[in-house]
Amino acid sequence: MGPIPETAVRPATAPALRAPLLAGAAVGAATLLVALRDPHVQGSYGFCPLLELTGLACPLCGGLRATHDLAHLDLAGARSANALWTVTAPVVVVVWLAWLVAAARGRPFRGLSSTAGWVTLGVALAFFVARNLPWLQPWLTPWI
Amino acid sequence: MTALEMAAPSAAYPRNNLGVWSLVLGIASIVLFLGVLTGIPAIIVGNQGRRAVRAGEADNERTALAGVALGWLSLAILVFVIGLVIVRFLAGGPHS
Repeated sequence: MGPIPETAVRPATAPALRAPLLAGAAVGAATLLVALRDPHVQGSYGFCPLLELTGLACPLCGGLRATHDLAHLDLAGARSANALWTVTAPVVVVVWLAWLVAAARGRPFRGLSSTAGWVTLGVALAFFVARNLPWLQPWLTPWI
Repeated sequence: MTALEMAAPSAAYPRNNLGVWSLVLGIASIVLFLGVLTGIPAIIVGNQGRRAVRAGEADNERTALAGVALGWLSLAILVFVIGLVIVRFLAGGPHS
């Protein structure tokens, strides 16, 4: 989840804001790249070794395509590429905003709770299994 | 959004989430085949967690250590696979 701002004693100064702003800029730049350079074009970002070797779709398969579609406000397209990422990406943005606000107010940001961690792992695992079941593949994998 | 804890938890060890997240990322790198994509964050977050243990803000050293170990394992697997590809290539092309 990236670097976590130091301790509670830190006042609201520019250094406290640097980490969330840098993280936001990096993710924003990457998103812009994916929005402009279409990942639907075969091989535009290389190939996935796991998919190539095993034919399995990992939980992130279709993530770039979903990001591209989300950036173009195409919800249906994003959902068909990666349903999990389509709902997770907005949550990531909200968490980043919470981080930014906490840093701006000079408050400590503890990141996501342990419970959130286990829930995330469980959901990702369930999604991984579900999208590799033959009868669910038409709905949950990026290919038709 | 009850699972998201924005405010600092009032528990005695408010930074145990670092070790747990490290383990979660480490497990994901192996079990979900995400490799170094979550393996490297697992190492970083796990070491933050171990620092929190030393600072008395967490008490799950073994959890954090497990996350770091799984992160390094994902890196080792990547190096092994790259080595295997190179060896196979040198031994007579990728289709031999």
